[in-house]
Amino acid sequence: MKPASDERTPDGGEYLAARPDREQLLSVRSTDRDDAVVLTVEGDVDGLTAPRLGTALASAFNRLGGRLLVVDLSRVVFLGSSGLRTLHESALVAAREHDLDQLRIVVDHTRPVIRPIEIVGLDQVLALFNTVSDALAAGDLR
Amino acid sequence: MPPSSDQDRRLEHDRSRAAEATLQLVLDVDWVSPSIARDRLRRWLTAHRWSPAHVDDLVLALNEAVSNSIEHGHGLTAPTRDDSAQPVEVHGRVVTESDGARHVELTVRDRGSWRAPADAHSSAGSSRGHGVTIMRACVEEVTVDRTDDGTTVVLRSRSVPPPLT
Repeated sequence: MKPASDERTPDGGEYLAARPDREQLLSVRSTDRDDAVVLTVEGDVDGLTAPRLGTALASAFNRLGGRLLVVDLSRVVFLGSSGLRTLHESALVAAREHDLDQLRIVVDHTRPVIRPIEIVGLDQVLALFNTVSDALAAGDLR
Repeated sequence: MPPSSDQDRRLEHDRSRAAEATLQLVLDVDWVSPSIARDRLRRWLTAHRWSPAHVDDLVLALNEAVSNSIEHGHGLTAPTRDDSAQPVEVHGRVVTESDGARHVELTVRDRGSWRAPADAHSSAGSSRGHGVTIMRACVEEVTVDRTDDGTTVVLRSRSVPPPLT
């Protein structure tokens, strides 16, 4: 299967070609809508895979225009500090170059994803929603 | 029914190992190692009938300790591996206390010389301490012993009641 452009790794993906088993830890799927770019993230976000999520986020920000960026983490089964850092960085990018309100994160409010987000206090920074449709339907948050 | 394939045999082998008293892992300095450590710890604790919420917290804490050993101990900031580096060792044991309660002690040892994160001064530098914050929140006690020979982190879990018989 031809990888989507947002699934390239920062180093060109050579190590993934050599060790395809690593690819299975995380999948990031990007969907463009009129009102939003939706990133559907599935699997483990750790030190190995967080750069790939970061690349997908950067790519989405680049073509965002005035649209929302919805990051659906509801099928993420593990989120470590590397993933938290990537989310934090995306919030900083949104605040600096767009509008923090444009970035919306969808999480299942049960473990395992909400727990690390709350431990480090990112729930105070990120706009969190229960479902993608909630995130899309919510109006101007300011 | 006897195992019918290599994969089945491996699974059978893993199951028989899972309930062992101690957990022993020798991990490459490689970013794939934290996921291996998470998986093995989860299976080991499940075999010891640890509750899922406690398992999740210990898996989070161990992930951070192993990731720190790979990132800080050996300076691997991008997903790659260092074949020349000494491996990271993980040792886990279940400790039964006098009243029958149990806790888990996880020791993560690397032979690296600690170095500051490469992008400590970037805009995200303030979020660099998340790993330590997570470890402290997820276990009862975190002990870090850093010497010239490497770093040893001991994670002591909260005590849980004795298993129901």
